[in-house]
Amino acid sequence: MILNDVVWGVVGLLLTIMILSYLIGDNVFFRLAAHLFVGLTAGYMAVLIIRQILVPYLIQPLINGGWVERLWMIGPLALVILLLLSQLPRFTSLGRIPLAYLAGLTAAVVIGGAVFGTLIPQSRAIVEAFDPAVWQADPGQKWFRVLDAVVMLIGTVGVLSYFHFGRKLIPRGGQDAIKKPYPFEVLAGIGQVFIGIALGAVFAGVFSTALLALIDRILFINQIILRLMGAG
Amino acid sequence: MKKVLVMVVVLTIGLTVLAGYLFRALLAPLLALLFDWGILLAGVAGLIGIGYLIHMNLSKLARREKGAFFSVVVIIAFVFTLVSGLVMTPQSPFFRDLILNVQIPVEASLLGILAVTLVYTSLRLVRSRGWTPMSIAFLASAILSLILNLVFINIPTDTPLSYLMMFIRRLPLIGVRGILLGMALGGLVVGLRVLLMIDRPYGE
Amino acid sequence: MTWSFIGWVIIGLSAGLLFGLSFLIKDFDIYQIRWPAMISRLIASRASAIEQGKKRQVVLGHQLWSHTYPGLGLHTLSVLPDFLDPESVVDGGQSVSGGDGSLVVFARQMITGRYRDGFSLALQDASLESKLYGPTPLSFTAGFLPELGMDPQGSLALFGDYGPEAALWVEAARTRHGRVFAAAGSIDSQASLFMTVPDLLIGEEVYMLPGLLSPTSKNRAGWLTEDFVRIILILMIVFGAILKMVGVL
Repeated sequence: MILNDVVWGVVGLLLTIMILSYLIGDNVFFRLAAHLFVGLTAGYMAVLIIRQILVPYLIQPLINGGWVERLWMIGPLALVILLLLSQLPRFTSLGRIPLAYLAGLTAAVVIGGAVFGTLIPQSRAIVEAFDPAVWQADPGQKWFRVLDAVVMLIGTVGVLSYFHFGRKLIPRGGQDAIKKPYPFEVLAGIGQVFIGIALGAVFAGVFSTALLALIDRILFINQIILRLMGAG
Repeated sequence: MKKVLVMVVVLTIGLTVLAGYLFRALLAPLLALLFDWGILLAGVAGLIGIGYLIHMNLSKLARREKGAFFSVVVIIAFVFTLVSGLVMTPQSPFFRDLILNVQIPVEASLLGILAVTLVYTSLRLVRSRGWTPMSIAFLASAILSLILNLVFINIPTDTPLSYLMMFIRRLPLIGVRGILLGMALGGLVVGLRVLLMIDRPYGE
Repeated sequence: MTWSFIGWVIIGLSAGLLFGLSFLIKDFDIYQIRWPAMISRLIASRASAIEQGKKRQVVLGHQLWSHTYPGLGLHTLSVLPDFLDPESVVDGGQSVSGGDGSLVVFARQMITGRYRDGFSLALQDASLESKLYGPTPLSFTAGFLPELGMDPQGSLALFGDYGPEAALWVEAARTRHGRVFAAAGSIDSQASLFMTVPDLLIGEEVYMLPGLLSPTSKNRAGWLTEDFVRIILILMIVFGAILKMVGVL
């Protein structure tokens, strides 16, 4: 066993035990490991941002680029300077312009992503499931495919109805203030079952992943201790 | 004047990027430029955010607040990693070992704690939510999915049972699809609210 | 008619409706939405935390933009102003944090803006700077858990795009007697918090905020637009399926 492996193995072992000690309550060992991790991650992210964003997108073009490229860099350079200056209390308002740039860009990407990345492809997938050619493709699975398409349609419409914001137009009692208009209320009843099924399955996935991580840590502790004792 | 400038920036950038979905080929070079600037700004914002983290810890230290010792740990770990990463390259063996041998144990252990937390919080489900169609569906689906995830069940292909199994496995996708569609509707309206300047996250 | 064309029709309709209801109709207040009781509890828990001098944590999530949940980052920023009213910011018990540089920079801009408009920058409480406890989801958790364990917590409000690790924050806040409200972001976080947080907005419900916290006419316009587009979408899917089945599409 190489010395390097031993050192890092012991570091990993200590950090694992310190973090897992949180299971018996918040304590000084957990805090120590957690803060070490925060500092290290912050340093690592700073390195990545400097090396993978600042250098290629700003510094490199300014130093090595031709004059046209340098001229083009005036825009982003000005935005960066404004953003940095806005961190000084006196110049906070200067931050509006670079942040407006980021907000405008993000808003447009959000709209495009929501419509062309989710709404259209997901709706299309539901509609395509009703293609008779798809049903006939495998006669053995025909009724399964029909059932699948119909349940998909009803379930999706139900889930969308569950999220309907508006309430009953003419509320007659206290409970009606939290109820949707009648057709949505009926469909939402179906929708909530599908939401429950989806969240339950996702929960199982999250739990399985977390459980595997816990098992991995227990095996790691076992393996390192055995190694240190010379048995591994 | 500044308000008008801000308005012009939001609208010009937003509408140009949106137009890019329609005239992709025509606007490709301009879009690449706008996105490059956006990435640069997000990167600088990331660095400023890290600056806030360090500033917060330095302030704790200066004010000798409760837990100031841990702020020293954050600052030392930060400076050490930053200097190592800038002096060496992120691909250098020492730097890689440093990151991976801290990151993997800590992250995996945090996930391990999450597993335990999820187990005992799950016991509260019925108490916190009661017996509703959603909570019953959640519980049934979680148990069934755990069995299907953790236990290997051998079912012959092309049999009615295999089709049923496939159908059951696909059921959660319906809810997920509905949730994603709903979130996209919300995203569409939120994006439009920013472009129409109803929401102004950059300040009034 | 292509799918892309339908997409543009949806964008155009939504933009037109939102613009018309927000700017052309004065005091648009006829659209009423259902009122989840959890909002009253959130407001009450924050008021009680202020009275008792306890901490109020607002978490803005880990990302300004993500491919799967594109709007959550911007949404969280539209909710934040409702937590920056003078009563909330004056006692120094309010904390705003996020796991992404852009989010915390935006948040800081809003906070300073509020102080500039409402009081004076000189009065800004240092504890109400936006905080980044860690730059990745799990490092944020590592930094946030000790913070939650430090002082008695009054309320923990979660918004934006975050993952299942939020279950750990919730338990830490609960241990310190904090009341939790979550507008769950990712499906993973919705699933993890479903078990443990009774005051949980799921899926698209998160977009009912910020209107639930301040039901202005512009927020009502947003609700109506979203419901209108939802009905269009449902009709589109149903008729699309029928047309596909009969071979027209």
